[in-house]
Amino acid sequence: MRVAWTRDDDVWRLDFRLDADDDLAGTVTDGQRVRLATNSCRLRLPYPVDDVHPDLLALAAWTVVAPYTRSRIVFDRPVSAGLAAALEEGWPVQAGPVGGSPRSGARLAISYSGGADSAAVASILPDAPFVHFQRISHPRVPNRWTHYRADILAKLAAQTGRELTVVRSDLEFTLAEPRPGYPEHHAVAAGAALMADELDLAGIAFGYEMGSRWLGGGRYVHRYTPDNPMWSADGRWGRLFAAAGLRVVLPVGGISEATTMRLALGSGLRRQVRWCLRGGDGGACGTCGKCLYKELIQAAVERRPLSTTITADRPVAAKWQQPPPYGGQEMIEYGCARVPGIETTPFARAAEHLRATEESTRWLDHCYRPALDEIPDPWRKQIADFMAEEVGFMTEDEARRVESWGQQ
Amino acid sequence: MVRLWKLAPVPTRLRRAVRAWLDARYVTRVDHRHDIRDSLWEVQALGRELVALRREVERLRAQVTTLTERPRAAAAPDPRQTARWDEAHRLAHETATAVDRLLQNEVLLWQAVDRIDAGARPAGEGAR
Ligand SMILES: [Zn+2]
Repeated sequence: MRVAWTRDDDVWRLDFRLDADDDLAGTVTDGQRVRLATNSCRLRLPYPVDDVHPDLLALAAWTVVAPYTRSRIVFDRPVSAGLAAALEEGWPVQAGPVGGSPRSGARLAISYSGGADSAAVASILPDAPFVHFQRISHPRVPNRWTHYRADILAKLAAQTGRELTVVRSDLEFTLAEPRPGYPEHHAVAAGAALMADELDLAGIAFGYEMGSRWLGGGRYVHRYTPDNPMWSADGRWGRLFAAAGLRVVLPVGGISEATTMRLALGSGLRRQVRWCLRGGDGGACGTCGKCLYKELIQAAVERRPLSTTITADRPVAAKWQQPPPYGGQEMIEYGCARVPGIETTPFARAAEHLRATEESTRWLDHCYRPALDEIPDPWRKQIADFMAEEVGFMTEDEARRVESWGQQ
Repeated sequence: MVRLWKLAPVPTRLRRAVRAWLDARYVTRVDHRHDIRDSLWEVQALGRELVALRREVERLRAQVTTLTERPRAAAAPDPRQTARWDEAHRLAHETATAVDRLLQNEVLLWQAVDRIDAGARPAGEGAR
């Protein structure tokens, strides 16, 4: 793979060309098979920035082209030896050309999506600026997904009143299959990478919670994943970001979605939190699978009956009529154990299978300590203090629930 | 409505007959007999008019029913229109798929060019 960046005013354009052994078919770090749509994309910065460190340009490019690159990545400007080494250690590729010095910064920014998890991160780091990725259409790819209201998310991010940098990009349209989306999950930070020198960034905080970081996330359900290749601090992506002078920070990596929900709903950003935009008017639709899942968690956190019109016979509820495992199963257990009258909801069958109790799901109310050990020095204390004060830590028995996840 | 207007004299005739009957109390018996005959004739005429009137009401009622049902019938899609929509949808879908293939072929084309060219050209050039 060969990549080249060109700048036109506030737009940085990435072009890439496949080597002989590269292919349109690719595999993302989480195992998802993808197919390339086209070989260019753009990042529109909030204002013209004419100089971006080559390591940052290389990092941003790699979040787009990594799935399709087989054995070689050639950048258009020399990268630091550290960045090339992080690439060669993390992936079976040769990286270059090498030359130039590494970069560094001082501040921590939040990659803010507008969901409950990133709102929880924002409540933990009240002074950190936001960087928001906004999807825009690709000039060469017809947009068949106009129901995705990226403009509403950007508007809500602005309404938070926090220091905000919005980067607009069409990079999601480089993906033909399964659908437009981040080529690698880390591409959400491509804009933050390009703005990192401007914002003097040393780290980016993401809203990935304990399920995504330690419990295998949605895709490899049921496995404890200390070695998570996407989000562990010394995984291949963690080391690559660090080589570009941008540490990956997961402030909510040790707490469950129930706890991030509780923190988000209890924060000043409550009114701006969104997990679904299909309802028109920028609100949740209440009829999709994600809305049902989030409603279960919210009802459990608020200790009230489920409020939904979705019935067990609806297609969005079909998976809960099957026996486990489920994606995000720890949260299904948590909800089933706490929502009054669960036997009259679409989760009735799941509740019967899981037989979870408040006692068996209490670990999901506490923080898993090893998640804090992963947080780089400058920011660890602030986050650890918050966890001690607002959440509390897991007992040894509770921590074992994390570490034996998928073995019971 | 025009036909109803023509029927308007009916009540007038009735009124006249009633008035005649009332007046009969003050006229001679012969006159009275004449009047009764006339009134009978009036009543028979009135009966015929009533039958015509009832037929007219039924016709108008049927017309009203047809008129109220017409918009409902129009709401059903015209099959020719549906065919055109289906055709537009098919075209949009096939065009999108074709554009997808075209863009992917372009990527592969540049890959082939580069293979011949053995990497002499920088990636940015010509790839737009
Ligand atoms: Zn929804």
